[in-house]
Amino acid sequence: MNKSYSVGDLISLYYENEFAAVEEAELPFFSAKHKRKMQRIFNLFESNKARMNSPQLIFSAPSQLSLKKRLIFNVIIIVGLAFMAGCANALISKSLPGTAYSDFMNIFGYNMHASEGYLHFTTQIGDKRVITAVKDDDNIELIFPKSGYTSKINTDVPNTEQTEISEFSPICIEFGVEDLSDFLDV
Amino acid sequence: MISSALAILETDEERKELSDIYESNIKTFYSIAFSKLHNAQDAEDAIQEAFLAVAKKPDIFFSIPANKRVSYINVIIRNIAFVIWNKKHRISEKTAVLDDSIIDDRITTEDKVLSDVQCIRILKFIDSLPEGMKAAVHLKMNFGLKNKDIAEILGISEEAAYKRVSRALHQIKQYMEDINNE
Repeated sequence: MNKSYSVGDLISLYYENEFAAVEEAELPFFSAKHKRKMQRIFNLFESNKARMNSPQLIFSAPSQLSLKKRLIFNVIIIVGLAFMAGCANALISKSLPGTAYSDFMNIFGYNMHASEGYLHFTTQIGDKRVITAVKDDDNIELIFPKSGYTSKINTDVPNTEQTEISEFSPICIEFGVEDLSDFLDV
Repeated sequence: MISSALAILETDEERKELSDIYESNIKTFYSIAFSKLHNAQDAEDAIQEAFLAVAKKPDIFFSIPANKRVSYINVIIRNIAFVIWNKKHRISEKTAVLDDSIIDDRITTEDKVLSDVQCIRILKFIDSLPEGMKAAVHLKMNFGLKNKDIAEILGISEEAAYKRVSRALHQIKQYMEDINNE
């Protein structure tokens, strides 16, 4: 018996046969993850369809990120913020007008102004060494190397000696006025 | 305001329709995926991917007559199951060894008078074609999808969809003519 078929008919017939031949599998207990994903897919369908019907309506698309991915992103953001806070702290500390001792992380000479009876000097020795000195009437002077330089630079000054005024040594340098005047523009 | 509210109501009903289709036919969907993949997890994935493809393009879904929508999803699930299986077994889909020059918009799908025996032979020939090619031509011929829509549903480029449809039609037509000439 002859029949008339188009390519479309034949393809359709092929798929009908294929689907009819599929053995019915026992339906498993679907995972919670699958159920969650399907629910999300139905929500996505809903929002896409609504957008299609009314383009003027703005819907916030449901998040397509899994819980795991969102968690990872959050951790990355927190670590990033902590890093940025650290960088900001370091930047601010270094820009303070005083000395940050790396050994103890104490900042000295913040907003250095000479107290009453003291004079305030600033000068440079060589390319790097910047010294801030505060002198009183008894020729006792405190020298603070600026941030980024160790206190050892002060010992390069002739006839100076290092003293300890606290457990955080050395922060104080004692020397005579005449020695200092060689280096400071008094 | 009223039209917006109606749109939302319509959407809700249509959404229900999609989830209803899922609920009512999940056994068939699962069986189709499982028959190829033989793995419950992979079958789950195939169903998810198919529904995701539908959800992304609701306009295509609603352009298909209601009585054909389940078949439409069946075809997508089957195609995705083949893709997953091929990926898992590192098999690249056979590409037609035809020259691009054979692609011709003028290919027609006029009716051919065939005997049942000839029909069975053609169905066997169709079976030998790559799954992606069969799915593309099925979506084109029986669901009336445009190449762009086929590309989006099958996750391929528009050009690839066009080539698949053209090559499949050309090969089937050629085979039908060969049979008629025998």
